[in-house]
Amino acid sequence: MFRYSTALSVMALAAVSAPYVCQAQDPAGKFKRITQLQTNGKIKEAIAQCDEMLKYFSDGKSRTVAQYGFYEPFFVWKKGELLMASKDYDQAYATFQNLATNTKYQDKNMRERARRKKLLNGQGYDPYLTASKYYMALCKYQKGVGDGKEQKSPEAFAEAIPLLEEYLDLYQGGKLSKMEKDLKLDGQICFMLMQSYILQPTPDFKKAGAYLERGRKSKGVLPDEMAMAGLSTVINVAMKNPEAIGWVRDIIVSNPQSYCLGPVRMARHGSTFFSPAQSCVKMFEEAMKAGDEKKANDSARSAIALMGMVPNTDETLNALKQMNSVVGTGKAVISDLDGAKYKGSDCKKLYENYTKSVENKMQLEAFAVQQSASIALTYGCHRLAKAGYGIMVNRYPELQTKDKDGYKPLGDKLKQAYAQLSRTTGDEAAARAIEDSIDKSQVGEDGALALVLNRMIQAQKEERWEDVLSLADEALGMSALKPTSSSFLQVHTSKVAALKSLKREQEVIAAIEKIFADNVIGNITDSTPQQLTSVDQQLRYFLCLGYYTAMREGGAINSEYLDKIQQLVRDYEIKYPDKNAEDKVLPLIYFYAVNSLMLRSNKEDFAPAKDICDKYLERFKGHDYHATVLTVKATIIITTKDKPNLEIAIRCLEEAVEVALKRGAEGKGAAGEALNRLAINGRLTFLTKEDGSKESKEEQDARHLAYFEKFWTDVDAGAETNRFALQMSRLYLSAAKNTEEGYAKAIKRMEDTIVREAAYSQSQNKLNPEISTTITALIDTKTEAESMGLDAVKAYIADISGKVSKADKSTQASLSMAVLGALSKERDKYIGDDSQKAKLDEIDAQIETELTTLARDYKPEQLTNDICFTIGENLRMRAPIDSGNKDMITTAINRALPYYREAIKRGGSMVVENKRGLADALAVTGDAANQAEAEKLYEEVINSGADYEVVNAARLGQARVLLAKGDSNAVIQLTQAYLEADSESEEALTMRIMQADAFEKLGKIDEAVDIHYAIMRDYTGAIAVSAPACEKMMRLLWNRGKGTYADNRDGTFDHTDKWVAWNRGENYVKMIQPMFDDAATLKDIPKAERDAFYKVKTLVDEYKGNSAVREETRREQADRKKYQ
Amino acid sequence: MNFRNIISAALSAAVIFSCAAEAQEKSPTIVARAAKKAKEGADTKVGNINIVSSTKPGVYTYQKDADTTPEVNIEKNFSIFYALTPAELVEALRLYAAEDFEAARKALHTSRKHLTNWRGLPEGPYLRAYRAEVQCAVRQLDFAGAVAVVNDFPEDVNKILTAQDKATANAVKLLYAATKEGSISPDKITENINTIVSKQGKAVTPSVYGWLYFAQGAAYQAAIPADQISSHNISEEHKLNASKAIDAYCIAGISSHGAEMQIPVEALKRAQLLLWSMPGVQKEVKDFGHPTPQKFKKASQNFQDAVSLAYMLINVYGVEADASSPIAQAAKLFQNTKVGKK
Repeated sequence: MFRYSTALSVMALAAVSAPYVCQAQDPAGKFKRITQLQTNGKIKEAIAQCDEMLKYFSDGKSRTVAQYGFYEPFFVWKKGELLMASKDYDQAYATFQNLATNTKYQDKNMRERARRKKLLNGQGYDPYLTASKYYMALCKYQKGVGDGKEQKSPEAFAEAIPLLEEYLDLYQGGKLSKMEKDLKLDGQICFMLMQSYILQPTPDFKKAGAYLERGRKSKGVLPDEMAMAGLSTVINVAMKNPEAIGWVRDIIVSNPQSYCLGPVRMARHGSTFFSPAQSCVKMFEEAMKAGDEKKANDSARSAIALMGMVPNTDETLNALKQMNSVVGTGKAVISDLDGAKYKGSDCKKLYENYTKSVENKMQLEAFAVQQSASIALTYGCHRLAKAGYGIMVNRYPELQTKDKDGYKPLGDKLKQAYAQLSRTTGDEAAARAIEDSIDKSQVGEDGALALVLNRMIQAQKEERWEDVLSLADEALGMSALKPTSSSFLQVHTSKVAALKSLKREQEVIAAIEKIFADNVIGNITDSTPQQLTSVDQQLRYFLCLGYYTAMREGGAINSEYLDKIQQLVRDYEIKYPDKNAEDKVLPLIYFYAVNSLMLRSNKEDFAPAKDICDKYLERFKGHDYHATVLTVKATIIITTKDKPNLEIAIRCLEEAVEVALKRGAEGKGAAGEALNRLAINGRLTFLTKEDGSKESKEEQDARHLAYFEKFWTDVDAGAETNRFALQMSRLYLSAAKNTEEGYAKAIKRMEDTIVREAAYSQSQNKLNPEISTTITALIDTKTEAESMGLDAVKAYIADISGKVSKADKSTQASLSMAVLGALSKERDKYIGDDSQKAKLDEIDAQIETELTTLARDYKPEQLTNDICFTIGENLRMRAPIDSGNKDMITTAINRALPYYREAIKRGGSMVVENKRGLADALAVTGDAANQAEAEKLYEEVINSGADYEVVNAARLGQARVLLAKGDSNAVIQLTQAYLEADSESEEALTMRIMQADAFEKLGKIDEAVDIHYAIMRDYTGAIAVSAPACEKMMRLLWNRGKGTYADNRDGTFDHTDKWVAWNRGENYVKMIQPMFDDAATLKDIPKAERDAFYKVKTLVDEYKGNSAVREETRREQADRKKYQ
Repeated sequence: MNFRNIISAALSAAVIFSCAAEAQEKSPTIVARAAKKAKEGADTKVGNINIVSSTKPGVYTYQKDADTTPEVNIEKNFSIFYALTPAELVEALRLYAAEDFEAARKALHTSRKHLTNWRGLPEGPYLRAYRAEVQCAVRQLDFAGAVAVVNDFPEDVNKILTAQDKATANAVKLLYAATKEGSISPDKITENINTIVSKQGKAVTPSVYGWLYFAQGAAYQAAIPADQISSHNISEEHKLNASKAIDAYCIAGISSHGAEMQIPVEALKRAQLLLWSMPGVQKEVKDFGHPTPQKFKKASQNFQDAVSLAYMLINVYGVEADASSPIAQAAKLFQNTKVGKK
C-alpha cells in the first residue's frame, strides 16, 4: 500500500520551525521544549506538556495569559500533531476539529497579534485554521490505511472523503493561505481521494479513476511514484473485487497520455505491472472455466492493457545506458514531462537489473507475449497463440525460467507448444520440422512422450484413426507413460475413439472391457474425481453403444449382448447409486437398454423394459428422450395387452406429446410419434374423467379426433415433411369419414399430404413407399364412399396427377398403379359372367395398355420397391402360362424381371416380396437355370424370418419347382411344413394337391388318394375344387386297381380299388346333382365348374358299367342282407 | 505552455546551452536565466524554449563554444549541456501521447520544420519530432504518409539515426510496399523481413516487429482475389496464401503484447476476416445449427479461430462492430457456444 507522507512532512516542517522562544511560563519556550521532546520520540511526555499549557490557557485570566494567549492555537496544533504521531487518530481528529471550528481561535485580536509577531515563517497562525481541516481529513485517511502494522479501518475513508473534497474546493477557490497554496497539494489530495474511494469497503472505481486523472492534470505536482502507485492500488483492489477488474483496463486505455510511458519509466514500472497482469490472466482462466463471461473478458482486457506496459529489454537498456552516460550514476534527480523523477543511481541499478535479465535470458517482454498467447489459447484461438509462441521461439530462443532449482531453458518446451499449435492450425509439416529441431535430451522422456501424445491428439482431431492407433501403441510402449497419469487414460480412450470410428466394434468392446478389467481409471492420480467420473461414465456409454451395435449385427438380435447391456445398467446403478439427475450418461444407457429389449420383444422382455422406463421417468424428466421413453412405456402396455394399465398408456402418450412439444422444433419428431400411437391406440380404452366417471363413446371419439387435429396443427403445419403424415392421413380418413364434414376434411388432408410428401421425396431424390400405399387408400376409399365409376376414378386420379410434378416418376407410377387397380376391380365385376366376355376383353386390353405404358415410362430405379413389386407382379401374372408357349411366356416374364431385380438390388423394404415374385416369375419360364435361381430365391425367402404369408407363398413356389424337378420327398416335406402353418388358404389347397402329386410320384397312392379325398370332402360345395379332386382320386384308385372283395363278417367289407373309385364318385355325384337339377342354381354355376362336375359324372357312369364293379356291388348287397 | 522539466539541481554547475531553432536565442543571459531557474526546480521556460524532456534522455553533449551551431561541431569537444525543447514540440508530443494522431502529426511536422537547425543533433528535438511523426502516421495506418516522413529525413545527417530508427524506417518502407497493391511479392517481402530481423534483430522493437509481419500479411493477402475475401469464399487455390497471411497478421497482432494497439488490432481484424473466408468455414457456419460445445469442438480449427478471434476483438480489444457484420456474427456464434456456459 502506498503511504501518504509528503504533505504531512511539509506541514510538520512549517510547524516545527515556528520561531518561539519563551521564558518560564512563557509559551514559546514551552513550545520549543515540547518540540524537542517530539524530536526525541517522547510523544506522551510532549502531549502531557501540551495539555498542561492548554489547561493554563483555558483556566488563567492572568496577565500572562492575556499577553500570550494567542499562542494557544499553536499548542492545540502541536497536540494534534503529537496525537497523530502516536496514532491516536480519533483524538487527533477531535483536536484539529477544535482548532478548525472553535470560535475562540477565530478571534480577530488574537490573529492580529500573531501576525504582528510575524511568527511561523513570517505568517500568523491563520494557515492552521484551514490546514487543520486538511489534518482532520488526514486523521481519517490515516486511520483508513493504517501503517502496515496497524489495523486498517476502511470505513474511515467515508469520513475522509467529504473532508478532502471540502479542502480541495477551498484550494480551487483560492481560499487557503499562501503557505498552503505554495505547497500545491491539490494533486496529492486528488491522490488521497482516489485512494479513499477505492479503499473504502465498497470501492468506487469510477470516482477513483476520475481523481487519479484529475491528480495528474492538476497544477500541483503529483509525483510519478504516487500516480503509478495509485494505478497499482486500483489493480490490487480490483483483484480483490473481480467484478471491477475491467477498471484497470479502462483507466489505462482511457488515459493514454498518462500511461504512454517511455522506456525509462517502463523500466521502472514494468515489473510492477507484470505481476498483476499475470494475476489477471489467472483470474481470466478461472472465470472462463466457471463460465463467467464478464469477469473473463474484463480480466483479459486488463491483463492485456497491463502487459502493454511491460518494457522491451533492448530498448530499455539503450535508454538507461544513454541516461547514465549523461546524468552519471549519482543521486542527482531529474524529472520528465509528466513529473516522473529519476536518480542517476536508480537508472544505474535498473540498467544492472535489466542487464541481469538479459544475462539470465529472462526478458520480461517475452513472458508478456507468452501471457497474451495464453489468453488467446484459452479463448480457443490457436492461430493467435501460435503467433505468440512463434515469437518466443524465434526471437527469444534461449529464454529461461527460474524455479527453486535454478534457471532452466524454455526453448524446447516453447518449441513443443509452437509445434503443437502449428499442428492444430493445419501445418503438420511445420509442426514436424519444429519437433525435429527439438533437442530430445532437453525435453527428456516426458517431453518425448508429449511429442507422441500431441501427434496422437492431432491425428484424432483430424480423424486419422489408423495413425491414432499406431501413435497410441507407441505411447503405450514408452516408459514415461505412467499408469497413474491422466495421459495413460487418454491414450486408452483415444484408442477406443479410433476403433469406434473405424467401426471395429468388437475391438471397441474388448478395449473398454480391458480398461475396466485393469482398473485403469481407478489408478489415475493426477485427475480430479469429477474428471475421472466423467471418463468412466463416457466409457460405459460407449460400451453400451458397442454392445447395442453388436447385438444387432447380422439382423437377428444377439441375446448375449442384450444381456450385457442389462448387466451394464445394473453395474452402473451400483457404481453411481446417488440417483444424480445431472448424470448425462445414465439416461442414455437406460434408453439403449430399453431399446434393446424392445428390439427383441420377447414376451419376457417387456417387464424389465417397463421397469427401466419407470426409472428413467422418475429421474430424468426433461431429458432429451423423455417423450420417447414415455411412448415406449405406453407401447409396452399396449403390446402386452395390459388392460388395467391402458389408461396409463394413453396418459403417457399424451404426456409425451406435451413434453416433446415443449422442446420446440427439436421435439416435433417425438410428438409426431406419440400422436401417431394415439391415433392408432387412442380408443383402446375409455379414460377416466376428472369427476371419476368414464368418458362416453362420443367423448372418446372426440378425443381421438383431437389427436389428429393436434398433429396437423402443432406438428405437421408448416413442415416440409413429416414421417408420420401419410400414415396419419390414412388413419384420419378412417376416423373422420363417418361425418360428411370429417370425410371432406380428411380427403383434402390426404390429398395435400400426398402432394407435399411427393414433392419432398422428389426434392431429396428419395423414394417413399408410403406414398403409393396412401394413394391406394385414397382411391379405394373415395371410390367406395362416392360410388365412383371407372371413368370418374380415372378423372380423379388424373386430377391428383396434375398436382404432382411430372418428373416425380415414383408418385406418377403410383397413380398409374391406382388406375390399374381400378381397372382390376372393374374386371372382377365381369369375371365368370360369360355374357360380359367382350367387356372383360376390353378391360384386359386397357390393363395391357396401362401395363405397357407403365413399363415404358417408368424405369425400375425411379420407383419404390413396392411399386416395383406391384408392376412386376402385374406383368408376371399377365404371362400366358396356360398357352404353354415357352417363348411367349419368357417374353412376358422378361418384362417383369427388371422391377424385381432393381428392388432386390436396392434393398430396404419389400425385398423379400420382390424375391418371391422374381422366383415365381423365373419358375414359370421352365428354363433350368431360371428354376435353379428361383429355388435359391425361395430358399432365401423361406429363411428370411419374414411374415408367414410371404414365407408360405415362397414355400408354394418352391414346392412347384421341386415338383417339376421330381424331388417328391422335398415337396412332401415342404408342403407339410406349410400346412402346419396354414391349412385354410387357397395356397394351402394348392399345397395339398402338390403334396398328393408328390405322393403319387413316389407311388404312395394311399397317401395321394387320402389327400384328394379329403380335399373333395373339405371343398364339396366348391365344385371347382372338389370335382377335380374327386376325379383325380377316382382315377388313382381305378388305375391301381388293387384288392379283392372280402366280407369280414363284422359288418365291414374290404372293397377293391375300382369299386371304391366308383363308389366315392357315385356318392359325390349324388351330393352335387341336386344343384344341377335346380335351374335357378344351375344358372349361377360357372361353365368351368359345370364341366368339371360333368367329367366326374361321366367317369362314374363309365366305372359303374364295369362288370367287376357291378359284381362287387351285387356281392356286397348280398352280404349285407345276410348279416342283417 | 509551461512545463516542469528535467533540471537536476546536482547538475546545475554544467553550462546550460540554450538554442531555439526558430528564435535563434543564444544569449548568455538567457542561458544563465534558464540555468538559475532550473537549479531552483521551478519552471524552466525561457523565451519560447523549454528544457528538454527526459522521456527520451534529454541531456546532451554540446560544444562549449556557444556561438557555433551545434550540428557543425557536434562531434567535437563535447561536454554536458541541457538541450531545450520548444514549447510547440512539447505540445505536439503531448498530442501524440494522447493518441490524437491527426493533430499531433500536424504539430510535429510544423515543429520539425522549425527545428531544422537541430536536425544533426543525436537524440535532439528534431529526431524526437521525426520519430513521433512516423509513429503517428503508421498508427493511423497511413503508410504512404509514414514513408513520406521517412524519406523526408535529411540525408546529410542520417548518421544520427540509431539502429532502431533504421529498422523502423525499413519496416515503414515494407508496410508501404506491401499495402500498395502488387508492388512487392510475398517472397520478396519475406526475404526482406528475414534480412532485417537477422541483421537488426535487437533494434527491432516488438511493435516494429509486428509492423514487419503486418506487411507480410498484406503481401500474402494481396495475392488473393479481393472478391474471394469480400464474399467470404476463398478458393482452395488461395488457401495457402490466406493461411500465411493469417499467421503473419497474428504475429503483428500479438508482438507488441498490448501496447500501441492500432496496427495489432487492424492486423487481427484482417486475420479474422481471412479465417472467416477460408474454404469450408462458411459451410460450417451455415450448418452449425443450435450451438453446443460439442459441435464447437468438432468444428475445424479455422472455424474455431475465426469465431474466437472475432469474440476477442469485440470483447477484449474493444473493436466496435455492427450487429449484422460478419465479425459480430462470428463473435455471437462463439458467445452462444463457448462462454457464459457452465
